[in-house]
Amino acid sequence: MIESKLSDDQRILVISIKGIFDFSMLGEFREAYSGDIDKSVKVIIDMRDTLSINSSALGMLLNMQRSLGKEDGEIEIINCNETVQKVFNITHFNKKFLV
Amino acid sequence: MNDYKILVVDDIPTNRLMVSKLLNRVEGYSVVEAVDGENAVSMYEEEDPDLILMDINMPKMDGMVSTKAIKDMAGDEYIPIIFVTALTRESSLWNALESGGDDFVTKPFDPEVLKSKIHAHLRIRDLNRQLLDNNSKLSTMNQNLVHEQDLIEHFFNSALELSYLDEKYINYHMSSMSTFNGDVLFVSRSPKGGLYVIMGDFTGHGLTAAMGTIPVAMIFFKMVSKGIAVSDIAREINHQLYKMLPTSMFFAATLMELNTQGDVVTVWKGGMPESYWLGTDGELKGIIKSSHMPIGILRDEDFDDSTEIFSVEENDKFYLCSDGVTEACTVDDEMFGDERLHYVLISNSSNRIEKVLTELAIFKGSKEQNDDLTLVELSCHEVPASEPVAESMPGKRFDLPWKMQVSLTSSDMRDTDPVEQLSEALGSLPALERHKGIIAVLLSEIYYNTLDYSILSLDGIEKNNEEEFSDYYKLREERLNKLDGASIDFEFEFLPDSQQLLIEIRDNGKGYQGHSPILNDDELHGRGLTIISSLCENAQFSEDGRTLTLTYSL
Repeated sequence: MIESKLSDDQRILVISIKGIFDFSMLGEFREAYSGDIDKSVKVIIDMRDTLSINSSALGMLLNMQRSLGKEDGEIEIINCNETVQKVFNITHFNKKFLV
Repeated sequence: MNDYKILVVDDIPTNRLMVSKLLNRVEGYSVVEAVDGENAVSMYEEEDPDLILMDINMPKMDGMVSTKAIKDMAGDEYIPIIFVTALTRESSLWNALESGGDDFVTKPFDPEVLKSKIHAHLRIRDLNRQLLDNNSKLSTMNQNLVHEQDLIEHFFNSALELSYLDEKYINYHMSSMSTFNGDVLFVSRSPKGGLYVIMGDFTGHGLTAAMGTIPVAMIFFKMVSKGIAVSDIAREINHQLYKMLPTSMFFAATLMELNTQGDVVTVWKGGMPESYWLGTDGELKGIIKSSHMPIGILRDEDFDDSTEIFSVEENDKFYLCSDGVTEACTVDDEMFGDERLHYVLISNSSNRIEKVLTELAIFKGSKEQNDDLTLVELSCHEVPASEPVAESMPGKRFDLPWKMQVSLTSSDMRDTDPVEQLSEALGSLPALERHKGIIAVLLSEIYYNTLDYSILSLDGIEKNNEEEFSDYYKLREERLNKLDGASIDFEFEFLPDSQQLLIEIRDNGKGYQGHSPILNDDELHGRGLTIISSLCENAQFSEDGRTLTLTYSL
């Protein structure tokens, strides 16, 4: 399940991901950052309830980065568990996102 | 009507007889007699009379000495003593009253005067008894109150000890807890990193208000230890308080989370005065107003758990206060108010809490110090995780070998999420508990590769941008809906000797051997095999890519 919250001043978008982050969440995930959102918004992905992540989800993250026109390290990923951290390390995602 | 016992003291039998006869005729009176002063003292002890008529001149012990003895014995209890005497000299009467007597009648006396004096003194005695009784009830109640206050204080001290009050992050002022005013402050650091603060104000005072804080503390500390989001904590506290509290009671509160990196603050705020956010140069960065009703009023379905999020910098500060600060009044009932608070905060660069307290004292002036307020300062810094990385349980091996097979049909692929179900099932086995996350990663990789590429033949379809992604998704749905006769079989085998898990996935599709390895970090896809080979001891395709066997070391 994915929840997204835009702060009242429209400056921060927090996307929380619950469960296994994979292809089955594609639609939900894209919805979370589409719509009426300013490109300058700071994006934070909260993974406190993310059990694990697979490679298609990594693709989805990159896709988001691209479509919002964000630089490497601009999108922040917080509260990762050990497993998720491991996958980010293996795939060098910690260079593209601030984990 | 009360039954009163009257002690008649006289050494002359005819006198005693006369008075006794007179009083025995009055309804509700009974008479006992004593023959001299000494006898009077012992009769007082034995008979516990309600009133004493005392002669003055008697052998052995005269009436005055006897009166003094009896009054001493009675202590706080009022035992009226009326002298019946032939003495008329003023000095003698004065001496009689000095010795402790309450009144006198002179012989020969008018029976009606004597009876009305007795009646009046008995009424005073009744009042006195009631007073003593009330006093003793009051003192019991007071003891209970002191006991309750001790309990409240004990509870809050324990909760404060649980709180993480490192000065680096938290500075605060709180009213003394012995007469609980309804203000609550708990701070907790999550083992997963991040600092949580709950500051609030219960309606009411004393034990009733303190009762509500018990579930709040329990929920708060428990949920923070699991690193749960502020909105969920607010929702759970509301759920419990709504069930428990009477409708007239509720809990205004601010919940805050400072994240692990110390650069994001999340706030849920209901029914509390404004909070202030100040930068390192003392500049005002924001005012946080309540956007919700207090906790404990709304049903679950009406409760709004939305939070505000602030992107903060190192050493930014947040100031939270109870309504005791802004509503503090002068003698003329002028309130301190938000603006004064705001001004004091921005015009000082350090020790702002003390400054506010000083200003408040000056402002209130002669008004009695009514220290009924709470002030908290949160400083933003990194809050690293304190939980040690889970280490393998030493010496604990799981020795039973087992094998598990799962076969999926086309409709399973269409309608279910086998990755989640299998991860849950495998993760619940003792040997695999700690590997649940990694197993979910592996299953997710191999299942989607098999389904998308071998079964649905989507491997030639590009997905390099938004549109292609979306086309891919549509095509996938189409093919999945038309799917018939496909099968994907999983086989899991646990090898206790080598402490390894073998995972085999076999399908009846066209086979798939993986993409060519990715060349740069920007590729949107193709990382699956990299992840698999990094996490597993061994990964082996066979049967033209229709079977993949993974060896994962626990």
